[in-house]
Amino acid sequence: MYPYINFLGRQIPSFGLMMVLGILISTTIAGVLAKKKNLSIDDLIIIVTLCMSFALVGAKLVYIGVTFSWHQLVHLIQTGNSHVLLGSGLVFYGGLIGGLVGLYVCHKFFKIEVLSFETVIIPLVPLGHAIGRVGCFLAGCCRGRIYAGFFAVTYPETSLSQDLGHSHHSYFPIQLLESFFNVAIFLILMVYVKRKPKPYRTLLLYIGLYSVVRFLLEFYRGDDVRGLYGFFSTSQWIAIVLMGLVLLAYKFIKNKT
Amino acid sequence: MGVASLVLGIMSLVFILVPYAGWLGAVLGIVGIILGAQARKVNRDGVATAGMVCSIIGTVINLLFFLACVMCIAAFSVI
Repeated sequence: MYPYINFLGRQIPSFGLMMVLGILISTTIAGVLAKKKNLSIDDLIIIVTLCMSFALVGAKLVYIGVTFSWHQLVHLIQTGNSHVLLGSGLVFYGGLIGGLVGLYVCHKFFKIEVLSFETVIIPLVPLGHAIGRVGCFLAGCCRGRIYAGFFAVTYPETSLSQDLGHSHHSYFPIQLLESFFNVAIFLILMVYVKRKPKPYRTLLLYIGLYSVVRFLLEFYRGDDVRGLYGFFSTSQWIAIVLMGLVLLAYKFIKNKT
Repeated sequence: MGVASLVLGIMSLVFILVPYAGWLGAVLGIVGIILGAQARKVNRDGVATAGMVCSIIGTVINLLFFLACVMCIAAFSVI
């Protein structure tokens, strides 16, 4: 669609714009919720900053791991093109795992009670993700399968999809569908936290819901370059593992209480 | 810590003007945000707040130009 947006004569990458917008909007709403619960805004800022940093690193590492073979990585480095790795894609699950590592760092090294922020931060993660996915749609990445039905979209020559050789096809708007489901998860979580759930329940609910949604939506994704193992893609396998871990974790904390 | 945050925030803003150094500006901004927030927890003075604000603006603008998924194609064209 529009990989770049022209603003005051400067070309702004639409993916970066939507991702930053998603982070800013989610953090602002989280700040309002934190203020209502008398939580420290400074702690919230530290948590968001650290978690987003680890999330970006995690997302990048997983993307590189599933997209490039060892031989391709070595070739990129030897030919002086390693900067390409910095500018290439991201995988959300890598970001999720990175974010969880960030939460641990906040708790361990900055002595922040991250659990008290659970009902403030977790519901806003899918909202930020939904806004970010619109950026994927605008850039033409993370595209759906070739599709000619209702709501099919075609990408212009400047977008990612055309560059990858699938020219003149129309695609399933999977990015917008995932955005829609992320907004639905956001609304479900916002209603759920009003019931003042016990610790870890909100996090487990989010991971469980997103894993189910992602597993199903992956059947309509068209970017197989991110890895296909047997019947399922990399993200589907991660979703299966995460669902299992969520069920185990829920059973564990239920027995503990 | 507040002064360090302000310095890092200003450096992060300067890196907006440096081509292909968005990632470095973002890293400096991120460290500036954390130092600024930590400084504000100890003493809510103007320097710490200014440092945090500059760092946030620098990080946001640097990330805005750095996070471009369109370079995905560059990866495949060089392999």
